Amino acid sequence: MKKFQYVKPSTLDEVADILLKYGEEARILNGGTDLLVRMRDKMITPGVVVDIKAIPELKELKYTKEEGLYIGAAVTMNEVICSKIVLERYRILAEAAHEVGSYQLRNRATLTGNVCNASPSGDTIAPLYVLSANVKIFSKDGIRLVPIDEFILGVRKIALNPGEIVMGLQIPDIKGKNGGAYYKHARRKDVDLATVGVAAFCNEGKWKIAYAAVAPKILRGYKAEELLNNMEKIDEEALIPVMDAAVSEISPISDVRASKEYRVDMIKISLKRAVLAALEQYELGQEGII
Amino acid sequence: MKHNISFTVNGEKVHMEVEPNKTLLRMLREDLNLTGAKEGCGAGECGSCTVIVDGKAVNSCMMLAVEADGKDILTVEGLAKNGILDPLQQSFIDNAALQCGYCTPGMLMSAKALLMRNPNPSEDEIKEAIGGNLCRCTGYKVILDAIKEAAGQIN
Repeated sequence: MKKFQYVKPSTLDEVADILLKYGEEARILNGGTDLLVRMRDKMITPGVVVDIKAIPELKELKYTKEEGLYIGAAVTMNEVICSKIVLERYRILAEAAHEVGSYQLRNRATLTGNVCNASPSGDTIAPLYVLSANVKIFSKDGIRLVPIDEFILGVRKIALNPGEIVMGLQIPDIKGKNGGAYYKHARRKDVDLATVGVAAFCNEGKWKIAYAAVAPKILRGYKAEELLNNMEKIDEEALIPVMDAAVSEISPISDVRASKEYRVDMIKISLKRAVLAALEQYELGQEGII
Repeated sequence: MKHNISFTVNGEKVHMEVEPNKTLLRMLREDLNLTGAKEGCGAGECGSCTVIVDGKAVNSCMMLAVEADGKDILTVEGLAKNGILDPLQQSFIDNAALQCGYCTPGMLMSAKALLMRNPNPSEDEIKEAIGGNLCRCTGYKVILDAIKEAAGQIN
């Protein structure tokens, strides 16, 4: 690793000042599970590394009926997985966080880090899409919320302006009957990236679908959603046109993990499994009311 | 610029001056001569560098030494007390749960962190805890057996 300056500010204002002063030279250190690997491999060589783990509001995980769930940027995957409120009301998120890396990695890795890394295969991003999550961004001018599908622009590209820092994720309260599931297709259970992934979420009969690892960014499955929304009965057979619709919405590549053709086949299977699992949760009648 | 940090390692208070670009793993091995934790992949995929920080298993190759400031660190060297092996270490020996030994300190620390938070884990919980620790020679069955035995599940 090349030499750099390490700073650990305790307020968001200080972080914004540092980011404005150093620009591209500065990098945020959160869980470090992506940043430090990229620095070790000299893919990036920041002059300043800004550790944000001393900022109290970034460690918060809180829920209110009005604002929904706020998960601070420095909340780890394991903290999300073990959160009672997440398990009760946003189960799909806990399930997806559990798919990331390994147990010890999840003690450091964060949900916000996974989002800001903006990998096409990021496991928690597709579930955040279907939960209509917003990215909460701080700057000297104030706080703004950006829908996650607008925040993620492409491979490792996010809509963050100079001097801005992501405070965390804001997920709306879910009203009424709902159920969701994230299906990850990977070569092994732990420490692997998704070959493909599908998040499916149903709220009061309205579906949201998102695909992972089949395009430069996570994609919403609008065509699949429309078909599902107009379906009287959802079962394996009825899902065949939805699976075909999914294929028409994606643009997978061949890489070290799988060929393009294999991903096309697997997105169908993954979609089917995610929808059926979400339906099972939905029919269990998980009400969005405490 | 070097940073002054203080932390506890295996029960001993330590004060150090460290460069920011040094990982916790390198500080443990090169400055404190605690060579139990190993670098395998250096990217959080193999788990051979696993140590326990504030009660939680972490990959020490993916944590900066400066981040250890104020923390309580346990490494494999801190498991045995007064010359008596930790029950996990003893059961790894009794079950022949190691061959080359390279993954063993990491396996032990992942298992130790598990038993610290959950003294009576299920097989799935054990598999989850060591899912990030690769072993390329022993095979995992005897490692699972050793952890179960240490947890008092096999006599």
